[in-house]
Amino acid sequence: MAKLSLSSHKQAKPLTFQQMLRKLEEYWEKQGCVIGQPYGLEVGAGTANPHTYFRVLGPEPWKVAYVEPSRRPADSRYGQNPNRMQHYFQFQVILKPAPADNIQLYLNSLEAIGIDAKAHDVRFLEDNWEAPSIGAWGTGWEVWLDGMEITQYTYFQQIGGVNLDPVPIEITYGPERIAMYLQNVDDFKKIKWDDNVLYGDMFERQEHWQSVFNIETADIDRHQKLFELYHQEAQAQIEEGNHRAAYDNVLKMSHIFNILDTRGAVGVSERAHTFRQMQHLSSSIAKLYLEERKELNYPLMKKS
Amino acid sequence: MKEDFLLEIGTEELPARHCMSVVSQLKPEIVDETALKHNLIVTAPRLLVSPRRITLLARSISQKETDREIKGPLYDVAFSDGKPNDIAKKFASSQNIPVDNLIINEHNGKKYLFAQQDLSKKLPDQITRFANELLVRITVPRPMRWDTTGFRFSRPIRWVVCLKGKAIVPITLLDLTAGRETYGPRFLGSHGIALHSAAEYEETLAKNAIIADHAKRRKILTKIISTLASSKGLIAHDPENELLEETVFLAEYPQPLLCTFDEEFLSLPPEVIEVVLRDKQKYFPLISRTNDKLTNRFLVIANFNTDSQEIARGNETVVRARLRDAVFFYEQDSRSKLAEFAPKTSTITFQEKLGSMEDKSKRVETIAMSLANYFDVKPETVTETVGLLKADLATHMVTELPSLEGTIGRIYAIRDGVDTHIATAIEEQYLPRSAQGALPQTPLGTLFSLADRIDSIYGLFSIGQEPTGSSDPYGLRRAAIAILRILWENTYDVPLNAVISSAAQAYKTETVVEPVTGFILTRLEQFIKEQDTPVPTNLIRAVVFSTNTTISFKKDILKQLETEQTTDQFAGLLELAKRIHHIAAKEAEAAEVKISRSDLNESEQKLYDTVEKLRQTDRPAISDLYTLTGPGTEFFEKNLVMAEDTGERKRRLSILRRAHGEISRVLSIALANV
Repeated sequence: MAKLSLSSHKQAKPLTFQQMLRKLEEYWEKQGCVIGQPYGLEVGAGTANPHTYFRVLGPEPWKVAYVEPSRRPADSRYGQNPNRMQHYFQFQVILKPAPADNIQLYLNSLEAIGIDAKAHDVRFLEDNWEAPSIGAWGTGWEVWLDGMEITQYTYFQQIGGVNLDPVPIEITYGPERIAMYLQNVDDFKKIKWDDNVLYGDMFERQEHWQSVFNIETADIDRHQKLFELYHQEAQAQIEEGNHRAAYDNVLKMSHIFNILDTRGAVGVSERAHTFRQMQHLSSSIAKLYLEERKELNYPLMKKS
Repeated sequence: MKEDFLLEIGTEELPARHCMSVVSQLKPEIVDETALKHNLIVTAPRLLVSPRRITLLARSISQKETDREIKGPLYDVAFSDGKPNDIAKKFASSQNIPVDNLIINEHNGKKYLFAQQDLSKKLPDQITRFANELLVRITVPRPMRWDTTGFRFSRPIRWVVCLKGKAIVPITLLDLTAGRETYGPRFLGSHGIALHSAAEYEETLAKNAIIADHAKRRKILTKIISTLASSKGLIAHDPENELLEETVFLAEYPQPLLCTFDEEFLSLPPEVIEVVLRDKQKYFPLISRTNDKLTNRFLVIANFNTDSQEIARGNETVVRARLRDAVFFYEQDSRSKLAEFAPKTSTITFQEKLGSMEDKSKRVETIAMSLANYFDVKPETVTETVGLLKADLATHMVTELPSLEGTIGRIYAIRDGVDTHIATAIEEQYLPRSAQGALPQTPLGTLFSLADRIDSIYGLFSIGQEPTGSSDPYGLRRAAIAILRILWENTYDVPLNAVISSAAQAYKTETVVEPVTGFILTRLEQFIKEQDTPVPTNLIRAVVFSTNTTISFKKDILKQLETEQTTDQFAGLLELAKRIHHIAAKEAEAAEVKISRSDLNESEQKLYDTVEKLRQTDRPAISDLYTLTGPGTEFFEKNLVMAEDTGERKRRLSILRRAHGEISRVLSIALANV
């Protein structure tokens, strides 16, 4: 076998969690991305932030990077599992249209946070993404760093049942995973948020209480009522033509559905029925958004 | 001049299963055929596939025709007074040649103008079309778009190399123009690698940590895995080489790393550890050569790299986290008995319109009850098994590692002290897990494997979700083949009709009995044809669609036909069968009526008695049918079937009808005589 001499550059001191997020923002800012902020509603992933959900629709170019605090009630583990939390972070990048060298840009971003792709086994393994409840799918990979999944990488094909043209690339980093790797710790609670405070100091109690709520005490009856109320509001707002307000209510529905599901309170036909309802709503929302952009004459076209 | 030809289509990482599919789609004969369509001859084409490139190498590429004569107008029309007129000039200019270069030749006794067309300059054009067609021929499930061309493919195409000898052939593919720059593994950075000539392709790539040829990678992988494993007294555990085949398309320059996990994790069931290593992480589990037991070692196949220590450490960390997760799930599950998970299957969807897994279990119970006799299974055993059948689907372990369905059920059942037969059946209901996979071994497991599958097929047909064309989202063809393999390899005397009507009973509707029967029998025909039998297609079909639907019976008959089909006796039987069919199947009056033997004449009695004897035979052989030939022939010789007398006529038709029925149990006569 041919031997290649490659030097590995390792950082003397690994980045803290907050430094790492800042480095990623700096890196993508240099690539021309807007640095966005979290949405402020309960979402399951950075994709649900309007910076992604709406902006990937239509012809306007868009480049954005942001941190999104994300919630998955089903991953509630009382803060006791080293890798799983019901509240965690995603670092999300959208490049629309997807540049031909996007993978190289991504690999360079790893270098920026102290991961030298030349010294590691970086792989792209098939992983396709599908969210039928919002009529969305894409193809791509999970990126492995020496066997660990650190990023989800997706060429979006559809959202709200609408074909995306141009095709955007979504890069979703798992910052906790990467930080655990860089800092060589085996539990999310041990991640250094900064030099003094650990991730566990910040979130362990929150994980405990939210898990109690999600798994044990969230009142099923009240949540079913909440779900119905948000559903009615979402529909009413679509009739008003207010896609933004409708969308917020769909996000609420989605989160409440996830809590009900974690409580084991969703039957088979209910699940299918709920997915159809949400699919219907999200397709109307996508249509309203696209109509508005057209009326506004696609303002972001001029800024590319 | 013979010069090597190279076409390399550079991609972002193709999924392994798509790579395998490309290999099977672009066979050499397809490449030849596609080339010919574009006036090209490629010699000794080789297809090389890796996650980053699809390459066609050939010893040469040339044009089949280098020039061509294009027929133009009649000489008499295009020439006036022996000189070319406007019509001739127009033709010349349409062919891009001077009028003086036109040729006059006879064609069908008349003189015409011809233009000689030089095709040699069209080579790049033809190669462009050839390359584009090869690309379009490749189909993958759910292809993606990535740029403004709107082209759909497995993953984005980023570069094209096309060389004839040392020269670039300037073809275009999508919006890419071919050059000589290829790209290497990501860890070598983004710079291009210049290819000097087509002949040096593989050598140049190898110097840059790329083994382009998948067959070569497979050889290397097999060798490095067994060498490294056996040096430690270990064997890689990879049933049916599934992981090996996948790994061939996961790394362009595979390098094995021997890694370890903490011994304490060996307290987990070995099946769990193997699934974590193999399915989740693509690692090869290692078992001891001396006792076949799983060890705490495993092999990682990395893509070529330098710092293997660092990479091994990273992979070991991942395995530790994954196994710790598994321990957590195992401990969570251990708080309850397997039976306690069963009610939770009411929230797990089988199919929206067909309800939950609990609903499915109930139907499977009905089906298994009605088939239990064929398998010598007691009704109370069916009930007891159904109570646990799908319970493991609600455990943490199966929720996390779905491929362990059934296996976890067996392990937890044994832990709970459940009868071994029942525990085994919980696992065996999912067998076979692949086209060639192991079949259930116990009668109880076989019963539930059949019941589970016929429930899926019948249910999905009943809601209009049958497979169409290449689309079979629920894997019903696979399910049908599984049913057939089970019934083919065993001697259970269960007719397919009984299996299907048990499902009709569970769904309380007969509506899809016919299409489901047709669907499964059509699969049977395919299945038999793949067995390499010398029996011709018409006879295969005759056996498949005979009225006795016991699969093992059909198998026996086919075996007999291998030798019987060429005998005079068989020809005689077919001759008679044809005659009987002609009347019995077509005459409106041909129905079975009650016959009193004493009313019959001697030759009628002979045939009647032979038929009655066949009726008493459970599994008649072809040779048993030969007993019909003599009496049948005599019957036709001595009796006018369509007699004037109504009673006589109906009686004779009725005897023939019965004979027809007996032959049809074994062979469908209409299909045999093609």
